[in-house]
Order: sequence, then C-alpha cells, then structure tokens
Amino acid sequence: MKKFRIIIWAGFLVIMLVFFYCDYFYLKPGIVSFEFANEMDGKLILDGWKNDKVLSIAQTMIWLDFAYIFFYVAIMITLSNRQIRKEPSIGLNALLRANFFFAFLAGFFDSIENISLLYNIRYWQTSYFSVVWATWLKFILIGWTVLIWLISFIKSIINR
Amino acid sequence: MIRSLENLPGIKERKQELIEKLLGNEILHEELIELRDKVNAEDLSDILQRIYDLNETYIYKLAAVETMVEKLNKIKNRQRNQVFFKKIRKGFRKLNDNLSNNDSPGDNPHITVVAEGDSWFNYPIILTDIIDRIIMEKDLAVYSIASGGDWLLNMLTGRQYVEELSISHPDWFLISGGGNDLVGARRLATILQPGGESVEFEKSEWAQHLILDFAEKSIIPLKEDFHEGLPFLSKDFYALLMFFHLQYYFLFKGLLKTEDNCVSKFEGLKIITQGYDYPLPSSDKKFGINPVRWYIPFARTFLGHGGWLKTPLQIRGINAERSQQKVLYSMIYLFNEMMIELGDIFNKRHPEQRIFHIDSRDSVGKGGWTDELHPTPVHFIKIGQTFIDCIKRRKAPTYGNVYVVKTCNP
Repeated sequence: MKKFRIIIWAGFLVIMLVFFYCDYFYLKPGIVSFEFANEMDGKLILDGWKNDKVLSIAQTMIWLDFAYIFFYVAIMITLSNRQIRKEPSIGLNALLRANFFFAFLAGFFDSIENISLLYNIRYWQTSYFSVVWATWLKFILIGWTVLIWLISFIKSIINR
Repeated sequence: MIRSLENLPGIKERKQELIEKLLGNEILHEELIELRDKVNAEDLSDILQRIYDLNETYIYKLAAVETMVEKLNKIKNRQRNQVFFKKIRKGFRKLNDNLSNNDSPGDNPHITVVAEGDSWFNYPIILTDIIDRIIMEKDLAVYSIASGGDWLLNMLTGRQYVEELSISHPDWFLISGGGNDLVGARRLATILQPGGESVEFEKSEWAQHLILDFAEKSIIPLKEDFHEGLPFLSKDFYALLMFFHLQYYFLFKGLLKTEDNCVSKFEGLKIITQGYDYPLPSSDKKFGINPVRWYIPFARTFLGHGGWLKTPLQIRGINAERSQQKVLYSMIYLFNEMMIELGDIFNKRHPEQRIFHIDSRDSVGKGGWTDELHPTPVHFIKIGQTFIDCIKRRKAPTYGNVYVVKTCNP
C-alpha cells in the first residue's frame, strides 16, 4: 500500500512538472485554454499551433494526460479513503465515500475530453467536436472532492 | 487430575448422552447447564462435526476466509494497528500510571481494546465499520485481529485472541462472531425446515426459557414475525445455537476464570459482544441515481449479495419474501437472547459487570442495508457509537448488561 502511494504521488508530480514545462515553453495559449475552448476558439488556438512541433507536443501532452488521470483519480480516492477513517460525522463520512465515485467520474469525463481533443487536433480543418461540458463537469467534480476532503481534513486537525 | 475425573466410569457416558440430546434438540435446560461445565475443546470439535455432518478438516476448509478477502483484511488490520502502535509509542499506556488509587476505571482517560470478529468489525473495503468508528476516539487504542468473512469457529480454534490478549492485557475485549457460521458457504440451507411445520422451538426448553423468562420484550418487542418464523427452523438450528452458547461459554470461562477459585490471567478485563440486526434476504441490486449511495449496487454486484440468505432460503423452497424475513427475525432474536443470557450468567458470578452486549436489533431498518448482511456506514457508525458509550461509560446500560442501539443512538 505504501509502495502504491509512493508510485501514484511520484507519477502525479512528474507528469505535472512535464505539463508545466511544456505549457510554459511551447504552448501559447496553454492546453487548459484549449480544453475550455468552443469550436471557434478551438480552431483559432489550433491555427496558432499550426507549426508541426507544437501540435505534436500538444498531442503528446494529451496522451500523457491519460496516465495523469489514473494518478490523480487514485490520489483522490486514497486520500478520501484515509480521511474517512478519521471522520465520525455521518454526513461528511458519506460525502467522503461519494468522493470515490466523483473522482472516478471526473476521470471518465477527462478521458472523453482527451479523446475529443485528439480528434480535433487531427481533423480540425474539416470538423471539430467540442466537449466543453465534459471539461466543466471534470473541474466541478475535482473541485467538489477536494473541497470535501479539505473540510474534513481541517476539521480533523482542529479536533486533534 | 481433570483427565482422570473425566475417565471415571459414568462421567464420560453421561457427557456423551448429553451431547446426543443436544444434537437432537432434546436436552433440558438443566442438562445444558450441566453439559457446559463438562465440555472441553475435544467435545466441541465432536459436536461441530456432527452438526455440520462433515469431517473436521473439511469444515475448517469451508470456514477459511477466501484468499483475496484475507489479503484485504490484513491490509486494513495493518493500517489500524499502525494507529494503535503510534499511540502506544507516544506513551498512551504510561498515562494510566497517573491514576490514583481512588480513581475508578471509569475515570481512566486512556483505554486499550482488542477486537476479534467478522465483517461487522472489519469490512475491508468502502464501508466504515464498527471498529473504524471506535478507532476514531483519541482516548481509545484498538488492536484489531478481526477479519471479514471469519467464522466464530476459526476465531476460537485459531486462538489468535489469546496471544493478543496476553501481549496487550487490554481493558476491553470486543468480539463479534457467529454470523458466518450461520450463513457462510450457504450453510443457512442446512438449518431450515421446508414447509414450515417444525415444532423444535416447543421441544427446546432452553430456547423457550430465553424468550419466556429472559427476553426484555418491553424494550425489544417480540413481533408476531418471531412465531411465524419459528416453524421454518429445524432442530439443527437449535443444536447450532446451543453450540454457539457452549463455544462462547468456553471462551468467557477461559478469559474470566470464574470457577475453581482460579485467578484470571486477564484480571479486570471486560468483554463486549454483539448480535447483529434482523437482515433482509434480497437479491435486488438497488441501482439508483443517488451518488452518495453508489457503493450499494457495487457491493451487491461484486461481494456475494443474495448468496448468503436469499439463495439458501430458496434452495429449501422458502420463496415468499415475508416468510424469508420472518425466518431471519426468529434466528437473530434468539441469537441475541442467547448472547445476553451468557453475559448475565457470568455477571452474576462477579461483583461487577464484566460482559456487556450491544443490541442492534431493530436499529438498521428497511433502507439501511448495504447488502444482505451489512448495514450502511450510517448504522455501523451508530452501533460503533454505542460501543463507545459502553466502553467510556458515557451512558448507563438500557437494561441489565445490554446497550440497545436504537435507544442509545436512535
């Protein structure tokens, strides 16, 4: 279990660093803007990335994001699972358990988003498939799970 | 000396006669009292083989916890016991030395607990179980050897609790067992009487004593369901219930050493038992749209739901849902009364109460089950809270040595 935790945290941090590096040095605007872009904005961003190297970097980042999904979902589930054991409040205990499902759902929406982004990078000149709704849902779910975890975590520190 | 007494002419034969009567559900209440003081580990093994109609090796194979579940049990116990050792290393027990002689144990701010039991004490994934709730208390240090899916038989023959009690010398010993012996490996089918014409309750003087003389029916009402479920219980159920009685008696006697002026190795040790709530046989997966209850269909699809109660009942031709519920109602009612009576027997021999029972009957309710056997975390937390009330003496028992969950934590 300890080994598993080390692996998921290491994977999460390494990929995050790679993302920051690529975003900062190669992609203008960044990948997050692309995720939130509607069809018109998306095509504009891709037009700006037309240079082959940038497009292939964006593509690689999205492929890497599939691994990132695994790591952040695993982290959210393990953190919530650990926190459940310290949470006697019936309501928060239930919400922390719901976090398992919401984290999984966030990963699912992120996968849908990635598939559509890969499609758009390849075919944007002829067709474009916008899934901004999946991006919004993903971030709302991630925000919710982190918020619930934080409330419970801070509460457990105060009561320590 | 004991061995030679047992070999005296007549004594062995008498014991054998009583065992035969027990297996046939023909033993009188007084004879059961006589037998429980004569019985030894060898006799218990003999009774067991005859109740299950199997040889000992096969029974233990049947009772063994599945490999995957065992791994998950171990992971959860390891994590729990890390918390225990963390507290111990910080001097948790040293603080006990500060108690003055005038302090009662109730004033003791730091309490150590050893927990042995089944999935109500260790549900290895997703759910918050009873012990999970108890561990959250800062002033309790809990060492857990509980295993989801474990049979009482395994716990008592494995005797891991003896080792842990000898090492920890805890203030409290919590035990939860018997559920899997009743329903594990579809054993439930073997103790049912299809057709509902059994009169075994009327034949069992001891079971009648539990209900007529002993049960606090004003607090835990005896619904008509009880009498309607009884005709489906075969003599093997009563033999198994008496076997539980003998097993627990043997265990408590060993721990509390109340006879022959023996001094207990675990002086001052207090014990808490529990007896489950009336489960609802079902094979319904309960798919729904409430995301907070996502784990219910998950547990019901992947973790054995339907196979413990519903299928064995249907194997014996008990198909009507209400009849199935009544059968389980009768079984759990009697099981709880058996446990409460046991505590009462030992408490009468001591100046202070040593055995307590947490009575979960009627506390879970219709919508409160994760699957056929396990309540939702909300109810596990409430039951755990009642254990804490008992350990910390925050509340007085509801009656006698019994804490009723629906009264203490409604």
